[in-house]
Amino acid sequence: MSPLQSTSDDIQTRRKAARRTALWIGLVAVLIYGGFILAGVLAR
Amino acid sequence: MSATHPDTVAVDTHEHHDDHGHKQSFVERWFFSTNHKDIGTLYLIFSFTMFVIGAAFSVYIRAELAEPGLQMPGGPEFFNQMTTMHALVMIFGGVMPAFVGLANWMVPLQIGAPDMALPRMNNWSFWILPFAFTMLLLTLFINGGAPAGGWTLYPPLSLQGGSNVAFAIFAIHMMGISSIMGAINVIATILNMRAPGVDLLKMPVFCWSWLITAFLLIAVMPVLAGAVTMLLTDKFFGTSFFNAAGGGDPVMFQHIFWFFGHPEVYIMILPAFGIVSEILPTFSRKPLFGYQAMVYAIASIAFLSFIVWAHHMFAVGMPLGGEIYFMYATMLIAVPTGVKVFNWVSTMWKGSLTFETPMLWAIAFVILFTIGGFSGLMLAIVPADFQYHDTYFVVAHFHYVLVTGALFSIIAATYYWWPKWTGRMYSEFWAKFHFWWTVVFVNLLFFPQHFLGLAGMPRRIPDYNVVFADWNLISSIGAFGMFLTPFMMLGILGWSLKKGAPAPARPWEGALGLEWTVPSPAPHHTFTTPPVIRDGDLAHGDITH
Repeated sequence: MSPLQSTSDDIQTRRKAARRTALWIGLVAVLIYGGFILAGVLAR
Repeated sequence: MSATHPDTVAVDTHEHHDDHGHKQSFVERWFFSTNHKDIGTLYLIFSFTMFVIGAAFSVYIRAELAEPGLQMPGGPEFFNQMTTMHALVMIFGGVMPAFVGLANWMVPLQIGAPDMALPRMNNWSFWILPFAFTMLLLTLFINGGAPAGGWTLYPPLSLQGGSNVAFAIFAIHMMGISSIMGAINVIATILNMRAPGVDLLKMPVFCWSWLITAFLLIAVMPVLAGAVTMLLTDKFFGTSFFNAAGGGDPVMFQHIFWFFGHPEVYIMILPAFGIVSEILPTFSRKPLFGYQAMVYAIASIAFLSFIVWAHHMFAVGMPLGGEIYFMYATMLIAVPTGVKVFNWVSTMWKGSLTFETPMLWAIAFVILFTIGGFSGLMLAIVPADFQYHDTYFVVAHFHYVLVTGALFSIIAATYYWWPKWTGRMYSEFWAKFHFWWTVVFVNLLFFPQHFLGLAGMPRRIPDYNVVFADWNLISSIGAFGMFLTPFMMLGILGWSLKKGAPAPARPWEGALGLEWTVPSPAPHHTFTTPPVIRDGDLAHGDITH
């Protein structure tokens, strides 16, 4: 593998992407939480 | 700064950036910190405190069980509170935060990232925990006492408590939010913040184990939250999710709980697999045997953990087809687990082994965790489980997995990375003394519980038939000996901080990976400029192995 070098701009881009990832995963967690309670309600 | 070893590349650790040019006050550094190392330290201190509190509860339990009859103050009701609180504190306060602390410290260092991806959320996810546990522990002092229905919170029993139910459920919600935020941070960090050159299949196994664990957390912590929310509304708002009198189904709670609970078991053991996969190659001076197989095995175990939950419920009653399915699906987990044990042994095979303290803990993990795995296989067999269910055999099984498994790996990791964290070595003699003391007493504590369980002694009962007296006394002696071990470790590490010899950047001869390319102690800020990496710097740079 050849050595690679990235810049601090690159880090900012990565942080932005990380925020997007976090939001998506957070949304999934909330959907699972809501989904299980909803399943409990609908099952009645 | 430049490379710290002749065989490593230049790594910019930016030591001069410490504190950003101004001296941080104690409050600024420890309460408002967004630094992954400081937050990792906070997690580890918190988890140590919880381990001591949880261990104190277990000493009460074992003192009560040291001989037949009721001898401890508080009576059976307080005994039930102690068993419940011991589990909640150890699982959610001890083991899980310890692994999150290790992830905070090591994941950014191992992937060449400057910090966790979301540092403020990182601070938040830690600081929720002390409040959650203060609330949970305060139930010991309220009217009616602490939750006493077991950590599984099965209704209707768990709902028979007083206001402690609300406290406990709120505390569990907070712990869940903390865990989910921690998991989001780990995933976002690993997927987005790896330095160029650290490909996913070149990451240390510890990072892989944590990435998979984080996905498990995201999938199941909301399930627990949903279950306890429904419990809360059943108790205080007149719903009947789990109330049979209102048309609900209490067994449904058990299904939902264990759909969370079984992956939770793996949440507490997968990072341990990662730690052991770091330590064994270092002290064997060989690459990890079957790196890719190890990663796929962790992923397989995580997948299987979702489809085996009802093996905790064989005695509840279910169709025969369901029992057979859950039995075989559970046994299937032995395959990827067997791959891991085989690969750990193969890593050591013909290696140039030395037995420094972390290696001793890691080897003990492999042997003793495997005993826990075997007893798990026994419990997976439906007809046998009818005999073992709710006996001390189950207690012995999960303590071999969680104490000699998860806890041993946490201790191994602490001794392994301590020189990197603090820049100090510890006394090998006393650290080994700590190890041997623990190994003797932990087996005295838990091994006889197999015999007690096979003979039919029920769990969660403060009194027992006199025929169980001898093994119970031995088990209690083990517990008293074990209770000394956290203080022993505290003494060893405290001495190291004050008087330990300075640690080099790479204190272990066979250690590979980015964390060993920065000085010891690791500077407050590392990899602010992404490092230039060659495959040789990575423990798994050459994925042909």
